[in-house]
Amino acid sequence: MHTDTDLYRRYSIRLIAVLAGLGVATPARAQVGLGLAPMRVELRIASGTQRSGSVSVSNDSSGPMRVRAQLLDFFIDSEGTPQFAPAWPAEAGDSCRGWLTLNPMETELKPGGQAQVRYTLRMPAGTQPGSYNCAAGFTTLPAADAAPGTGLRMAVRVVAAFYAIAGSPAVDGAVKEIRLEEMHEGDHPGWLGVVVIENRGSMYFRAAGELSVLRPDGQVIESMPFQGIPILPRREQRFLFRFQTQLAPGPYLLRSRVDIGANEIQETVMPVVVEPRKP
Amino acid sequence: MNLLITPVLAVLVGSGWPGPAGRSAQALKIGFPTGFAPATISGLTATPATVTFAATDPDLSPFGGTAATVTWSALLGLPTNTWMLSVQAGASTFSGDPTVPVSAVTVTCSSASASGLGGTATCMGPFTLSTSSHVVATGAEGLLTGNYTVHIAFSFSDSWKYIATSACTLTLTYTAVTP
Repeated sequence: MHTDTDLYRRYSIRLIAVLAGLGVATPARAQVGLGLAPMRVELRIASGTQRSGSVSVSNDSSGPMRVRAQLLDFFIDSEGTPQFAPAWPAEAGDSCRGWLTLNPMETELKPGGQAQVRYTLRMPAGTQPGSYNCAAGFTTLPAADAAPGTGLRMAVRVVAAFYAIAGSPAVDGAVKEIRLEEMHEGDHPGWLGVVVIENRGSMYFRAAGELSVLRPDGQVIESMPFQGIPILPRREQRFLFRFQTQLAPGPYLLRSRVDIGANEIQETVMPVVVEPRKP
Repeated sequence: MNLLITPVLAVLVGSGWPGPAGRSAQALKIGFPTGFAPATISGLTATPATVTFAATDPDLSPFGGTAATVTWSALLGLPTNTWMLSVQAGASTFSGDPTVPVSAVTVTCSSASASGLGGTATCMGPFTLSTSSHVVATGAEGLLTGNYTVHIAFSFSDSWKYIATSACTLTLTYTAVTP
């Protein structure tokens, strides 16, 4: 008589024996050499018209490669990570995915070969001035003969981000919040600077500049640059700065200097106090 | 170029700030090109093509799998542009065994490097795998040209509640982007 645990254990051990064999026998070729040019396309386009162009997808490896294209919505999440998906319903109002077509959608690339993937973006008549974003992703198809037992199959994807701009919308944004948080990543606690920038307009922009932590007398202890990610229309974007310096208890200043492309540099200074850690 | 001074935000970490609640900004002379990014990526490669978890006893998990390396090159980069390498699972469970969630896999960036003037690379912290993109490593593009390498380790937290099957696989997609 076996208990459930015993049965699971027996099954598991049998499975492991099979998997170990598969794992040893499975070839582990690389997913190799996918290239893309350009990785970002910005199109200023009148509503009711269309623009066409091409991106180049290349196979820099010595073997053939099959690549599949996909039209994508994207947004930047609160961690600063672009999130791509075939459709994000919440992004529908700011997306150009429905206006974009690609041809071909799937292609076989010879070793060292490349393919021109033609795109056409048709902006509907009556589109409100503003920027609209979407993306074209190109993904290698995992090799069918590379199936492991229990494990992971790798594919690689390169993405071209598209920004379609209708009219001449103005950049309108500002630093909304700046703060210092205690960070607990891994074994070493540290300090995380957080800057929230609000895009109040309909035009995306990028923040360039730095966040610094200073002593009260103004001496800079550490500075970190803003990530060059887009701040999409009508939303707030968090920027995270993982400081390397371990801050001793005491008063400090956090200073953000940021250029959002509106012919001005915004500076925000905030006093902060690091309190002793509780035992 | 104008200088805009925004009000100082009076948000404190803890309490006890002894000084005034505000500071004035100093004159600035800094400038950054933004928005220019006709960057080109080539040779995006993930090695090996498969990672196998050689599990022996769930009580001894997590099991480390074979580490993977992702490399690529970029042309026409700018240090003001941010590159990101992210990873996401193609499904919420392993194919062949829906009892195994992708959250059983932990992804750890072991090291990341970037070449090229001004190019930087930073590993992000470990995370559990999901169908959402997670940044494994990020940094600034090297000026004009740059080569990038990210080493990644996967570990698998096995469990007796996972039903035994002969094949249990998951497709991971690495995405390189400069959004």
